[in-house]
Amino acid sequence: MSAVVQARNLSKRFGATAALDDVSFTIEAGRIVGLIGPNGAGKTTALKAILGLTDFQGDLSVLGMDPRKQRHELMQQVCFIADVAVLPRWLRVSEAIDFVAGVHPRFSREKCERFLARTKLKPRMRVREMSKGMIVQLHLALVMAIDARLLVLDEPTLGLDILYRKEFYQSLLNDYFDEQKTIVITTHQVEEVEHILTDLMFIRDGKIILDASMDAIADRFTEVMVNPDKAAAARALQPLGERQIFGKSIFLFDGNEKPRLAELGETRQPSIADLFVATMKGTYA
Amino acid sequence: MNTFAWLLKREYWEHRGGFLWAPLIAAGVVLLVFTIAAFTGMSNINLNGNALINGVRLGDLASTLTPEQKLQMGAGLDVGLFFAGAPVAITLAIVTFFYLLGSLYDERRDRSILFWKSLPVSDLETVLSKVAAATVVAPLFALAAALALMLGLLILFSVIVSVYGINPFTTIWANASPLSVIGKIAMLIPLNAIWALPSIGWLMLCSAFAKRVPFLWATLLPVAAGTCVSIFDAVTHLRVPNDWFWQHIVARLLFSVLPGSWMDFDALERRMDHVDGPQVLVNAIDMNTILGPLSGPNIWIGAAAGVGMIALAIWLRRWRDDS
Repeated sequence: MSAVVQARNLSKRFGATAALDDVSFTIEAGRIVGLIGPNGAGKTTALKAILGLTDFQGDLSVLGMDPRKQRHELMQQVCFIADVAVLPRWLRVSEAIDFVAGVHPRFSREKCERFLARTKLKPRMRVREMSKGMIVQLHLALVMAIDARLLVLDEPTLGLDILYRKEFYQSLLNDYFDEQKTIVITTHQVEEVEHILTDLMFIRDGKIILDASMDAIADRFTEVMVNPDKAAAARALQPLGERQIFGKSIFLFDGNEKPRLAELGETRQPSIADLFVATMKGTYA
Repeated sequence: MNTFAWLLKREYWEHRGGFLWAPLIAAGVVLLVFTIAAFTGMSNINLNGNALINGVRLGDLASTLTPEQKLQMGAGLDVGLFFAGAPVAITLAIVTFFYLLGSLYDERRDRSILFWKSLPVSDLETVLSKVAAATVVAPLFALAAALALMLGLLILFSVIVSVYGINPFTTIWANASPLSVIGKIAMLIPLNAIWALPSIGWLMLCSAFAKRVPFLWATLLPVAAGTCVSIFDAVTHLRVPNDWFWQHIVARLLFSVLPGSWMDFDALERRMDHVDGPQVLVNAIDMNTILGPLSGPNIWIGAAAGVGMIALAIWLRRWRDDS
């Protein structure tokens, strides 16, 4: 499989702060990658660099193209949803479909209309008359009807209720994704994406601090629920994080052998959210 | 349809109110004013089919017009029609001014630029489609509104003369030539466009550049510069080209979108000194008038500056990153 995105020594500074600090990573085709990080960690900057929306230092190749120089060609193959509410308020559903069909060679009107038929959206409706959830439904229908090789989603479900959020990821997975396509998602709602991700990247202070497949993460990280009498022994193994629940301690370990951890207590797979909290400890301190 | 046509359509969808309705409303208002004036005037004089002035029936008067007089009458009507369209032209100028000021700013303010940029449309095409919307699409709608206005006025005149027992077909419709007036105005569209380039470039540049209130950037910057030049001229003994600056920089940056603002009124006056009759006013929009400004360097220097500013606006739209 060839790399869809290949970044080497990517840097971008805003004044004194580094939004991207000498970052290198590779995204393979057919993956769903979660780019997770606290506010201001550089997620959006990384995505903007991939989409050719911002300048940067270093080498970046997206589908074999340089997003700075070949943005126009690139956008035939790449699609993105930047955030909710970026559709212009005056736009009607029918106009949106007509326009995208007119300018995008890989757009299927028939597909888009099929997606919209499942919603309450009507052709004459304007964006300004829609709820946030409906705007995202329209945007998603437009984007999913484009046969793009790379789809970039930056906080796509921000401000949506749980019904819309579930539906969003469900249709993305069922109706859009296949092994030819690659999806990169940033979001704070980690719990909702962790089951659809194939790869995970943690970014903090402009640096990638974790870059692994979900399988590798399952192998590498373990959570152990330890009774108070064994807590000292667990601490001696240098856990990544520790929290208390019902008088027991829950420790998160990186790389220790599973049988050894099992002796301390009940082991289980940590959630991405817990892993995130433990890794990002002290970010805002 | 190709991408550029879709981009133009997109501009029309967004600005239907300004492009389509504003000139139509302006035309409607002019027609309404004329109608009210006509009927107020008519209600004050006796209304039978035999209006008499000094014992002469108006109907007879009209039927004895010589061909030369008819020609003059037609010319008079044409000139009237031409200038009746002025409110439509002014409306077009105001709409275009604010359209350009918002053209690259509104999409940044509501962040919809991220949606447009997610489609395979280059910044060059997008910005040029906005230039074309301002120079071609909007003027064509205004032209249609002006044509509707002219026909409306001729119908109104016909009703009035009929009331006085004059045959409107031989007096008005046989002599007036609204289509030729519209044709002449249409020929001015390219000239207006070239002349407007410095304003288009400046307003779009401010629109692409300003973080907030592009209107203040666009107006205050040239006015402040002009004021500085004027003050400098007033307090020093150096002869700074103060009037020149206001006329050729400030006015060109802000008001060149007004159709016909290229007109050299001094030259027009000189040409009119030797001729009489309304025909001369119609000749004011003949080929000499159109080619006149194109022969001087003024318009081309302005156009080059405008193109430069448009290029800068394209560059800003491509690389500006504040959304």
